[in-house]
Amino acid sequence: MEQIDKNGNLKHLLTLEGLSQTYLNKLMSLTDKFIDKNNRLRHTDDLKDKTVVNVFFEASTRTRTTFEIAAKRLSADVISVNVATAATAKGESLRDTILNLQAMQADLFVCRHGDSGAAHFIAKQVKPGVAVINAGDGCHEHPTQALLDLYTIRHVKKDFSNLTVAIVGDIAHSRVARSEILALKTMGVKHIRLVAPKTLLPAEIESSGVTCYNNMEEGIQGADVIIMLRLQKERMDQGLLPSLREYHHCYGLTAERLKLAKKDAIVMHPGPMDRGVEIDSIVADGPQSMILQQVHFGIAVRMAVMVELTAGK
Amino acid sequence: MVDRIVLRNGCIINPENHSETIADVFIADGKIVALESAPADFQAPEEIDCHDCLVAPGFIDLSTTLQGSIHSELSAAAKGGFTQLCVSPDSDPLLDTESAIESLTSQVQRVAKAQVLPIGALTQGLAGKQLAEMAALKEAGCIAVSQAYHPIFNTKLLYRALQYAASCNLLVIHCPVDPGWQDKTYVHAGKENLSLGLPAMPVCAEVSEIARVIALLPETGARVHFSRLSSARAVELIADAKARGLAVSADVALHHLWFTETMHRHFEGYAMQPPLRSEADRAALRLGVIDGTIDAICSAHTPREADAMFVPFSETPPGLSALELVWPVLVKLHRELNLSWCQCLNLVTAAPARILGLRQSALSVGKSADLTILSPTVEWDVCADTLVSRGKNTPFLGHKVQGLVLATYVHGRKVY
Repeated sequence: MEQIDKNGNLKHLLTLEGLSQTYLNKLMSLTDKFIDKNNRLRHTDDLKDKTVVNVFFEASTRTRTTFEIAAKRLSADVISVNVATAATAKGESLRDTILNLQAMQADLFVCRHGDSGAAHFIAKQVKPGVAVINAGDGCHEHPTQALLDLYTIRHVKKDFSNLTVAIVGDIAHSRVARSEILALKTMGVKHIRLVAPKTLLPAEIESSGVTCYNNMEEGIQGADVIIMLRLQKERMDQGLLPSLREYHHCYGLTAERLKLAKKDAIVMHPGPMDRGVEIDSIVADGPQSMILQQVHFGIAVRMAVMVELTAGK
Repeated sequence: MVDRIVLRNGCIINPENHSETIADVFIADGKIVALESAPADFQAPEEIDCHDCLVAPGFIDLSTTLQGSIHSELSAAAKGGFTQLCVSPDSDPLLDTESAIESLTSQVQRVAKAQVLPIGALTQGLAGKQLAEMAALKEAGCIAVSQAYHPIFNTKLLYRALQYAASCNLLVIHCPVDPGWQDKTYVHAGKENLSLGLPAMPVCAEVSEIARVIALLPETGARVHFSRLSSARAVELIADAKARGLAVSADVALHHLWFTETMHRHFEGYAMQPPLRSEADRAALRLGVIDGTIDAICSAHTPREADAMFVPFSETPPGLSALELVWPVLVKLHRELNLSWCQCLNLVTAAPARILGLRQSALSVGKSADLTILSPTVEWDVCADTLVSRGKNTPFLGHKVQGLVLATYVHGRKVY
């Protein structure tokens, strides 16, 4: 499924793979337009008369809500379908659900699904002119999360080229990490570190130009940006980790560990966070934390993506 | 019904005795009655010009899964040049009882195309808990037993199953995947999956299972055929076992010689069991075919209905429709690996016959006329309409391939 048309414009946002630095900068500049000088979100008519349908096959609060707010700020009609309790539960196929929603005049689908590749599949089913935003598919990608993280990093650090960014946690099962690595590489970040035990790192990941650390202290030493990932409880049952306690002991971001990073290092987390597991409250709520700022920027970034995908249609 | 036929001027390929000769084939009453010169009084109402064509023994497939319409798949087999098909026990119905075998056999007889050689289940219901009635399965016509891709976690049970199969003098066809990895892992844990994030299977899942079975061989006396190798390290392990004189053989599924993990880029292609692996793995598999470590090629034919594919990649059932594409792949191997026609066709005729202990695989006087007429040059478009199989699940869809099966005969009767 090709997400870029022959004029180089985005038809869908399914992955950050193949998007140039110029394009990412363009999206970030567009994002700037939706934040006023008092750091408040603007209200525009960009999506007037458009219908945005949020189809979430997996539970979500933050992502779904921020997409909803973003669409409303752009004056779109927004519907959120909680598919977990709807038609698919009665046996309807994903394809039929999408085709039916499309028949209700949807212009833009925002989709989350538990299967890697689901967004590509949905984009294949919709008719030309209807756009699909991947709001997270399995362990594949979560492009808008990575874009809002880029935006946050740029907001604080201005330049990407000399940064050391450490991503800590369950990289193997993280769609955020996959998008994040692509985005950081595209922006020219030279030092991308992945910090996790081997059980949470995908096979052959070092071939993609990142450095892996099994030791948290070494991994965050001198870092400019630390991105913590959520640890899902079911990882224990799968034999990937012995216990939450041991995970926190080895990989939890404590105030003491944070001192190993640069003094002006920032801490990010895509949420929802598990305090006391991957991150301590004192860090999450501390001065270096950008976690709530990320959520705020997330709305503006999603506004930019929606405008980009519906422009001229 | 024509019971006397002459095939004129074809290049007769006999992999069993490494011969390639231009000659005529005279068929009467389902048997080859003469080669080269006609027997006395031989008159045939039908003469077929095989100039520029190869005439080869009918192909034998070591692994076909039948689901749904048997008629369409046996027709696909005939169109692919096959006269004998080993049917995997994970077919529908599951082949773990005499009655299932009889039901399959009677359906096959009604279609009257390729001959079917059922592979019985190694354990009841393929559940990996209790041995199947292997002696009864053998009496009902099973040529081998297998667990297909269903796990046996308990090594002691696997040990017993191998012992019991050996007592029944049944070949065990083993698809090597560690039991813990047999759940929905249809892509290779390699570079390509870094950008996909699909549940993936590393090479060690295959290698450790081969090692487990090889470790059991000396004390069980079983004959084991490892089916559908996918990795370089698997080929190494088989070469090593053969060098030690163990009773093992191996095959590779067709598509693993052509495609690699890159097929899945952007979630394209099809879920595969075992997964398509790296370029280096494919190179080692091809080398294994050349040096004989890998004895044979199987189709691993698994047709899927179109509806089953209307789901995201990770929900699609694994397998490819393959019977009709075996000959084009052999033509490619002939060209790219510099293999003779004898060597290529050996992989789907004499070699599987040897593995299965079949005597019937040569084009010689007195043998049943199970043969196929092949054009190595004609090109054709692979599309939904040109495939007879109900399964259109093939990465060749939309491609032009070289190598066409022109006709297939079973016992002297034209089935395609």
